[in-house]
Amino acid sequence: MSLQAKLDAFKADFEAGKPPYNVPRSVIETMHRATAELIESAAAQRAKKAGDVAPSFSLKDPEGNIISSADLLKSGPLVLSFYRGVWCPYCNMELQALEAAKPEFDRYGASLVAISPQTAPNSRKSVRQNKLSFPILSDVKGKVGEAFGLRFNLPDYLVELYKQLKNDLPTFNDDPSWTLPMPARYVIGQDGVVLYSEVNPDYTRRPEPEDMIPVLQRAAALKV
Amino acid sequence: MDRLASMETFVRVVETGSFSGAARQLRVGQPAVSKSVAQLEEYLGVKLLTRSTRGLAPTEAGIRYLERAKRALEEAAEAELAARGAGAGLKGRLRICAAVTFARIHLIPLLPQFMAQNPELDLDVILDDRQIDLVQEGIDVALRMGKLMDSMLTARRIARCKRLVLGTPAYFDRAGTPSTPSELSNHRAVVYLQGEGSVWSFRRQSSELAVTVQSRLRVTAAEGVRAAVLADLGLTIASEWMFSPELRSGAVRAVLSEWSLPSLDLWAVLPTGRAATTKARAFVDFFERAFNA
Repeated sequence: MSLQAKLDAFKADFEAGKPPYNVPRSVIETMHRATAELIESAAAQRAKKAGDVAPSFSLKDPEGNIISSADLLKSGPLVLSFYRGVWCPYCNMELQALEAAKPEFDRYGASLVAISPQTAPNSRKSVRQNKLSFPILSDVKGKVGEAFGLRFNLPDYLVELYKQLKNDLPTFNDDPSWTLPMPARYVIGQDGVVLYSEVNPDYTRRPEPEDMIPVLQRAAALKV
Repeated sequence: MDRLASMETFVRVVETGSFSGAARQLRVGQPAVSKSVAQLEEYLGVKLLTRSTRGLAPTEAGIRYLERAKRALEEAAEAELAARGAGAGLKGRLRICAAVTFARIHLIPLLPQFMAQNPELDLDVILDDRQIDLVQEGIDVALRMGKLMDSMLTARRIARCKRLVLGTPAYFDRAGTPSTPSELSNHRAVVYLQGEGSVWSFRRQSSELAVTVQSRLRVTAAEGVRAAVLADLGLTIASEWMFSPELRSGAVRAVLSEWSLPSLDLWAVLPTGRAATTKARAFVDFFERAFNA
């Protein structure tokens, strides 16, 4: 079953108000409105994309080790996944699918890291719950997400909803700003240029991990 | 108050959605635009525009006035042209410019009809894939595709078409048929240098995807892209217009139909700064009808 098929099945149950979430229709409608407005804003079209030089970064993994994009690129291409946080079920399903595809990425000498604005304890929870062997880097105050053009401000009504749902992003992210990155996947070549990009302003849609393989094959062929 | 000038100002304000936009187009200051609209509203005794946080919008009365004002402006322009042309009719020479391949497939085949309808009109057809300077080259009307770079031109959209990733069956037999844009990484692309280059951007639903393709062959003219694709050298991104005969015959086929590429617009462009000639307008009317028939 493809990742998107799993996400679609989850979404159908979630939006039908089924347990364990039992979400009322009004909440779904508010979420739909926010997604529609984010799509309408065309923010996804302004994000970094293939052909652009990827912004470099140096971020901490959950254990406090500093991981830099420059170091990762020394050993091979880099698969980068921007995601929202451990509170987002779609993100967790994506992380699990990436973990399953990781042996394939390894074959092409590629590194895999996820970047989230959440704090280290939340990332540790993410790694533990999703049984991940790759690091989740903490993007403090969403600065790297910003550099990639992915960071957006939640509209007021969505902030209100998140507060009601006890989804306290300022605490999760140690950032008072109520911002999130749009989920996005990048493959970056060893020269630091983006070879593949996909930005999902609708957070219920994610690229298949297997779609990275042809790009990694290409990157391996380019290897200096 | 110059009623015609006020009408024009009002129409530009509605079309640009702002006083400042209209001021730029009319090359006057913004206060002059605001004043002109205010005078018009006072003269008519009704409000034509509402101002909200979302910008300017015409009122009910404004919408009714807008359509008739546009017609009045067109009539006035026609009257001026008729006076200036002094019964010239469609005589003399009309200089048309267009992209080479588009003209070969879509424009030249329609010319016999246009020339038969206008026996006293001679044509210069200037073919160039690049955007040439219309004023400097004395062009009366240009057919252009894509985004219009020069805001100083008057343009009318004639048609819109899809852009596709396409190649020959022989190429796909050899290299495989890509089922996702990411698979394009391992394909041979024929890159049109007037087009998107080697980064191809797609959309599926709301997701924005872009991938770098291998571009061993880059070509500056659409004719060359066509020839290279038809020689099975690789796949390319092209408008339906560029391969109309081959898409019909099956000599090329489109792939990745679940993903969409930005569409392509065809514009008839008239240089401003001098009155559009009756000939140019007649040609645009003819071409729009015949092309979309």
